[in-house]
Amino acid sequence: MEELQDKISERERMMTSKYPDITDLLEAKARRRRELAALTWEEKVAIVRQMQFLLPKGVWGTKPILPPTVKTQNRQK
Amino acid sequence: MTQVAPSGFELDAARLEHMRTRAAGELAVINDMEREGTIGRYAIGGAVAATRYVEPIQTYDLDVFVMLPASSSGLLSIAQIYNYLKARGYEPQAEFMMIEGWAVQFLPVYNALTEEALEQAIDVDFGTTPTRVFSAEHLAAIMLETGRAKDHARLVQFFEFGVLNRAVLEELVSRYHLEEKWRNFKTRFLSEKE
Repeated sequence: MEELQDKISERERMMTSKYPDITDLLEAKARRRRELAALTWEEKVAIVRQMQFLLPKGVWGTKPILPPTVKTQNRQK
Repeated sequence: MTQVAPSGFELDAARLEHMRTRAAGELAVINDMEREGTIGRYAIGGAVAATRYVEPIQTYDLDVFVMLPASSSGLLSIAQIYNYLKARGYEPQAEFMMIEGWAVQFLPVYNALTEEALEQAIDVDFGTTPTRVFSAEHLAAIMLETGRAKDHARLVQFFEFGVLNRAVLEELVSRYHLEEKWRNFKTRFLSEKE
């Protein structure tokens, strides 16, 4: 009887909720933001500069100049 | 060695170090300008300063607020900054100066609030390079005053991460007559009512 009740509850849940539960995704997002905020300022500035490299061509006029070692490492990826 | 930032950006150690070094180099150039008298006291404001208090914020430029020394004619001019930097091989680009690969915007303090923010800016070290940034409360007051959508979004982050001394902020709000903007912000974004 209990098993049947569980099945009915599950079916009702599926019928009433057609969207997935994303609570854990939102929690992970919030956690990641807290972790980012806790980095040192130097680390955060490095990330800000990294974000500039992701801008589409033309939005940012100057191509970032990377040291040869970094260029090499990137090509190998 | 690869350092994976929690943002999901993969920053290898060489790239991270390179970016830090260039940012420090840029600040060293600005420190030289201050030491040599091309600019008066300076401090970092805007998004890069805000990044010190909250998560990294995407921005195109580094806002450097400055006190400008008066020229022989008694007028304050930002041209001397451009001349100084151009003589050292740095080029202007639109309203910015490109220094060590980053766009720097020099902004003379433009009202009493930004002047106080500069006077009371906090001495910090970027790696081993000394510099100054606006306090969280002064940044918050400037965001309230400016009042663009992105300023409100950043200010919400300041509350979210609990980096503000509210009493200090409210004292600035009162002194710089920002009460109405503060009330509107609290109602819209903090769900607070008078």
